Amino acid sequence: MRFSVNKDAFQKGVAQAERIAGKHLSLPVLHCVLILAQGKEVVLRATNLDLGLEVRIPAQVEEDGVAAVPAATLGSFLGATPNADMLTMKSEDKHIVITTPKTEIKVPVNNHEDFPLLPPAPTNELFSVKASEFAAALRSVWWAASTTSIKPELSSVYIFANGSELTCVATDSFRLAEKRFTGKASESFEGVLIPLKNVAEVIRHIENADSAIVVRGDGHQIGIEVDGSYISSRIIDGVFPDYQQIIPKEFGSQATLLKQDMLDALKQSRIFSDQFNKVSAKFDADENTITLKTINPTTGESVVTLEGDVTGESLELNFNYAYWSDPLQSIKTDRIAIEFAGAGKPARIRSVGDQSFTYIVMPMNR
Amino acid sequence: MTLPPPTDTKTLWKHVLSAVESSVSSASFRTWFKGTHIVRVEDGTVIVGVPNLFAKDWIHTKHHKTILKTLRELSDVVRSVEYTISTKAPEDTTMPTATLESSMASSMGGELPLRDLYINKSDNLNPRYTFSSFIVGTFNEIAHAAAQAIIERPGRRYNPFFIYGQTGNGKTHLIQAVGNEIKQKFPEKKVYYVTSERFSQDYINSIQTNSANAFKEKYRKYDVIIMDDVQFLSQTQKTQEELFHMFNDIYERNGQIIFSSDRHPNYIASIADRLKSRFNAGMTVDIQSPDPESRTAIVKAKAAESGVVLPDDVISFLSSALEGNIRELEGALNSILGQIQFKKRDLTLQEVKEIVKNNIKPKKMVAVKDIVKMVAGFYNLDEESIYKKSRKKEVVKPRQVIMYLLREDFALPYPTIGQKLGGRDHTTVIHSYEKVKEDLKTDHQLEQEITQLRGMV
Repeated sequence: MRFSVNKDAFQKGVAQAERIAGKHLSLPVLHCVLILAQGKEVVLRATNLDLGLEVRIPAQVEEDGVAAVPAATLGSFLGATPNADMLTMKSEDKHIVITTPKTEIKVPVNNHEDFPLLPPAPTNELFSVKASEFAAALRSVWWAASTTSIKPELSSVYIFANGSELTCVATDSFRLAEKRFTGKASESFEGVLIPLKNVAEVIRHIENADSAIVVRGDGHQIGIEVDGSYISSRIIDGVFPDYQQIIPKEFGSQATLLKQDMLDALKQSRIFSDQFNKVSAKFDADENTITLKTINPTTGESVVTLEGDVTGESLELNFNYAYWSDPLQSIKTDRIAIEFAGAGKPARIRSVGDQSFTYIVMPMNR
Repeated sequence: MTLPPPTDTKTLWKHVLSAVESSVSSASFRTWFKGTHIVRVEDGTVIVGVPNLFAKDWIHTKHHKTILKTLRELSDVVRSVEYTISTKAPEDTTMPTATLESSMASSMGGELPLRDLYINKSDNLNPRYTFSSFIVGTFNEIAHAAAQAIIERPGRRYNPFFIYGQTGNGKTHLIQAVGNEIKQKFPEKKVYYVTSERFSQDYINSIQTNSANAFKEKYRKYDVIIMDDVQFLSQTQKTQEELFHMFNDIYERNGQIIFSSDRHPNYIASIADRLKSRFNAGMTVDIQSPDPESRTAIVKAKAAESGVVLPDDVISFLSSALEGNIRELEGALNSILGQIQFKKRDLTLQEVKEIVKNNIKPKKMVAVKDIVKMVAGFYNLDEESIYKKSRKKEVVKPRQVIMYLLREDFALPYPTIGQKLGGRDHTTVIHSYEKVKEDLKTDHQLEQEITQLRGMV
C-alpha cells in the first residue's frame, strides 16, 4: 500500500474514527482504524461492534492495500504535526511508515484480517430531515433516557413519524422529554430506537452538515451518509411505551415565568438540597409567586421567591432538583410554563411560544 | 471414533462450537461465537441465532464452511445453514428487576406510570397479553374455547365475536391474546386493537383535519379488528355510522371482528339498533367473576410468575378472602409479593391478613345515590326523574328495579328506601319489591337486566 493524501482531510477522518475505535477485551484489533487504499480514494473504517463508521477521502493511490493501525497513535501523531499539507503512507513489513516533509514515523500494524466487516448499508429509506435540525432534536431529548441497561428500550431515543412531523422522545421512566421536528417520513416508517450510547456519535456525525440527510434502516441498524462519511448504528429491537397516554389532558394550575429566573433559583437551591435533591415548591396564585425551599441538615436552608404568572389553584409540591433543571437546557425561549394536573399526576414543563418541546415529570412523593 | 448423532439442538451446536474453536484464536472465538445458538431446524435448514449484524457477517464469511461441514457430519438431515439476529437465547432467564426499580423510584421521586404502556405501534397490541398467562376456569372457559376456535380460522367461525363481562375479569387480556396469537400464526394478517373511545377520537380528528378518507382506508386495510369497551362508543350518529360501514366492509372480506363490552350488546343504551343487531350476529359470550377454584389457580400462577412459592394456607386464604374481580386480586397479590421481596422471607398468614385487610372490599356497602345513578344510566334516564313523582311507565319500571335491588341485595329497610327515593311511603316500596319479584318469574328480559345491573354494582 502506498498513497498520498491531504493531511487535514485525513486527520479529520482519523479523528472521527478515533472516537469509535477503542479497547475491546476479546477483539484487540478494534482499537485500530482500518485504512484501505483503492482506486482514487482512501477509506477509513472503525467500529466497536455497535457503531460502524466509514470515511472516504480522495487520495493519490500508487499501490492498493490495507492496514489496521492503532487509532490513538495515529490521531496523536496527526495532532502533533501542524505544519504539513500532505502526507504519504506506505506499508513496510508489518509496519506502516508515514512521512511528511519534515517527519517520519513507523507504526506496527495489527493483523487486518481480524478486522470485522461492516454490515452492508441498509437501503430502505426511513425518513429524510435537515441534518442540523435532527441533531438539535436529538440533543433536546437524549439526556432524559435511562442510563441503566435494565430496559434497553428506555436506554434509547425513540424516533417516530407523527403525521407530517417526526418526533423523538426519551424517558428513564421518571421523566420524559419529547421534541417534534420537521422531516419527511417514508410511508412504511413506524419508529426506531437508537441506543443512547450511540446517539452522541450520531449527533456529532451529522451536526456540522447543513444539508438534508436520509436515514436508512433495515430492522437491525440505521445508516446515515453525510458528506462522504457513513455511520451506522445498531438499533434496539423493542417497543417504546405508548407514553402519550400518561400526558394529562387537562392542567388545573399553570405557572409561567422567566427561564433564567428559574435557572438561577435552582442553582441556588441546589447548594442546600438534601441527598434526594429535594426542592419544595409553592405556587401561589394570589400573590403570583413561586417559592422554592430547600433544607440540608449540614449546609443549611434556602428560600427563593420568583415572580411569575400563576393561574388556577395554588399548590405545594416537592420535586427533584435535577429533574427540573435538565429540561431548561432544551428550551430556547425566554419564558417557560410549568403545568400541574393535580396530586399523583405528572407535571408538564414547556416553552412559552414553542410547542415542539414537551417535558413530563412526576413530582416527588415525600 | 464417531459420535452418536446428537438429539437436541443444544448439543448439536456445542459440537459445532468445539469444532470451530480449535481453528480460530480464543479472542476471536469469544467475540463472535458468544451468545450464538440454534434457533430452530426447518426442512434441513439450521437457523443459527447470532447476537448482532457484525457477528452475522463475520460468521457467514469466515466460518460458514466449517459450520456447515460440522453440522453435516453430525446429522444427515442438515442441508444448509442460515443466520439470523436473535439476542434471546432460548434458556435465557430474566431476573426480576422490580426491586431495583422500586428502590430507585423511592429515592429519585415519582415514577411515570409507563409500566403498562408497552404497546406495539403497528397493531396497538400489548405483547404482555398472551394465552400462556391466561388462566382458564369454569367462569371463562366458553369464552376461551370460542377464542381458540377463532384463532384456528379467523373470520370463518364466530364472527363477530362479542365478549362481555364485568370490569377486571380478563376481557382485554383475552381479546388481546387472540390478537397476539393470530399475529403469530398468520403473520400476513393485519391485526389492529383499538378502544372505542380511541376510534371515536380518531374519527373526529379525521373530520377536523379533512382526512376522512385516510381514516376509512386506515381501518379498512386490517384483517382483524379488535375493539375494546364498545359501551363507550360515542353517541354521535356519524361515528356509529362509520363503525357500521367499517364492520360491513371487514365482514364482507371475511375479516375477523372482536368486540368487548361490560354488558350485553342489547343493553348498551347509546348504540343504534342496526349496530346491536350486527354485534349479535356472531357469537356473544360472557365472562363471569372467577369461582374460588379459578381464583386459587390465578393466585398460584401469579405468584409463580414472580418466582415466589406461597404456602397453601396463604393461597386458600387469599382465594377465599378476595372475592372481587381479577384485577383487585392481582393488586392485593402484588402488594404481598412486593413485601416478600422487600423482606426477603416468606410472610406468615397473619401478616398476609394484615396486608389484605385494606384490599377487601367492605361487603356491599353502596350509596343509594350510586345505585340510582347506575340504574338510571342503564335505562338511559335522567337521574332526577327517579326521585320525582312522575308515574310515566318508562320511569316507574327503573324505580321499581332500584327498590328491588336495594331491598334484595342490600337489605335496606323498606321505610329507608322509600325515604331516600323522594319520600315515598314504605308500602309503595313493598309493592314494588313484590311486583318485580313476581315479574322475574315470567319476564326473561327483566331477569337479564337485573343480572346485568348486579354485575355493574
